[in-house]
Amino acid sequence: MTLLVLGVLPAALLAMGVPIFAVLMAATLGGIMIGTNPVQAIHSAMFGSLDIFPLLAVPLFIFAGDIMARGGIARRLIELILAIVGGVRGSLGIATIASSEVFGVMSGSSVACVAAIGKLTIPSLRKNGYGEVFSTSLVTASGVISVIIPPSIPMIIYGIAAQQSVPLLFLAGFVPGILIGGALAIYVYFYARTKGIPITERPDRQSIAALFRSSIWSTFAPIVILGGIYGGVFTPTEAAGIACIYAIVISIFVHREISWRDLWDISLESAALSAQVLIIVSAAGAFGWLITTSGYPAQLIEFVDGLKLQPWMLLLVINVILLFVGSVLEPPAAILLLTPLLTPIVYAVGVDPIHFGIIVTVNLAVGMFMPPFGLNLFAANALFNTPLPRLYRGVLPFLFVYLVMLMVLTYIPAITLAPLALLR
Amino acid sequence: MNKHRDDGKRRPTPVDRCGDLLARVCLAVAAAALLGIVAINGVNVIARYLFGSPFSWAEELMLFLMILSVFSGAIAVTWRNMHIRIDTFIDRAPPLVRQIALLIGSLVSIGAIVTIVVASVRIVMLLHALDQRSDALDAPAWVPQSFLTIGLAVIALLMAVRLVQALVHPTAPAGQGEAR
Repeated sequence: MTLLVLGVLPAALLAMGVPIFAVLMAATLGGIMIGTNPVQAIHSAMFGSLDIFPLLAVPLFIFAGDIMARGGIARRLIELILAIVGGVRGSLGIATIASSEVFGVMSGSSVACVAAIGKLTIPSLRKNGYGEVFSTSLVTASGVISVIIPPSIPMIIYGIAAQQSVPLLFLAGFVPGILIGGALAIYVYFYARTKGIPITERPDRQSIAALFRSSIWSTFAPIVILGGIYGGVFTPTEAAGIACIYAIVISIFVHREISWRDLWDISLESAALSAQVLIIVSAAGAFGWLITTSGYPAQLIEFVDGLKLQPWMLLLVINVILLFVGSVLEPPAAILLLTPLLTPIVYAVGVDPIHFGIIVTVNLAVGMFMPPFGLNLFAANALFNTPLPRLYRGVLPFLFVYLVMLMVLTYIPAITLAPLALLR
Repeated sequence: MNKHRDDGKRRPTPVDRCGDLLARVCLAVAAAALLGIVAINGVNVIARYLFGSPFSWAEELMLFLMILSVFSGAIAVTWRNMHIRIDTFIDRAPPLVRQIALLIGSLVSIGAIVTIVVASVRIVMLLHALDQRSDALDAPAWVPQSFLTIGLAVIALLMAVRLVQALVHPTAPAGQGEAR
């Protein structure tokens, strides 16, 4: 009966296309009905899941990212990077990856990253001989870096679900984000060499200086966010709020790219997106509470213990599960669904909770462009009109690079944990 | 009789117009709450650095505004059919299977949400009767708790309206752009 209510029912409802928050509420109610807890407990658990101060960072970072994308801050930074990275084999491709990294510091939305970076770089990439499929695939694959590089919304959600420090998760995410970018850049370099793509001319110093002057306020955005958090000036939540104010001031008064009316439209869009994510957080909080109080994690640990899996095998199995889930579900929802189940298992075999948070984030990020269902693939298809079958083939080399990096990050915890010594 | 326009879209009915208006108002409330959070957060940081002490009530008020924003925004998201879901499988199913899945999924969702709302109303009424107040803001605790109750109640109602519309007009989307 328990398996039917907490396993089969949610799976069937999810497959039927029922909104995830409603699936979670129905499953929680079903679990309550077969147990001894009162239904009123669902209200308390749902309210309590939102009444958490660090969670405020989620709508604020979404809002800040939207303003920066629309207000010219992101565009100026990308143009500056494109100019600086000129003069190297594969420079345009490498600049696309670097732009995704920088965009990730300002916005945790992968689809927004694909749209913003793609619109600016795909025409130049194609013009320089990278080809339509490679250009779109590169943007699609590098777009998911924005959910890995801090400040990352999935990391905030994981931090809350697994009761881990968000600043520590952010710090642990830097090196993986940069390493993945580096690995992609190496692949792009060899691709450019093999295909004989010409080296683009580096703009003269005067042009770079002019671009730097026009983007000076944009370059301060990542400094304000990350410098504020790690300089001990703000908490991550406060930094997100300050990032919003900074973006509003720069976009309206300095760049003059958006009006107050535009700001209102952006806030409407951000509020809708935040509601989409946070109502799942609320419902998943109730589901997580049911799972935790019912003792299922203990039973699951017992079951996994019985399988006598080595830790490396267990992590491999979890990676496969996360990749599949990540390809059909957005990272925040996937984290909220799986964290209460997976964390007790991996903690039992000695995996560090912060390290596991990075494994979860990278897996779900890769799932976002994994054929056939990855969300970024559909976004890229809609935005750039590249046919899906060609896109599926085009992203495969990038998928390979990500999977290699995922294995490296999974089995060498020092990569993620070494920087934590700075804060611990 | 179904009234269809040339573009295949159904003419907006009074129900569509009411739903669109409700969605617009709720989203405006959610956006205003979001801007309120940004303003309070900024003032609070300034107060801490300029006056040495942040406002004790700021954190609580920002959280209440976020809960208002979430459930108010979720009403608009429900009407506009924008909730996050896995549509990969159902989009590939034949129309009849889609209709059956919509019917079953909607009935289960509405049933679950209404049951939780009934229990939720009891909690809000209890908090009201006990006059329980929040720690820092000294606000009546039933007010923020009722955001969840009212939000879920309206969401269930809108899901029911959308289900009836989908069953009565299986192929024709509503007239206005935002009602998908």
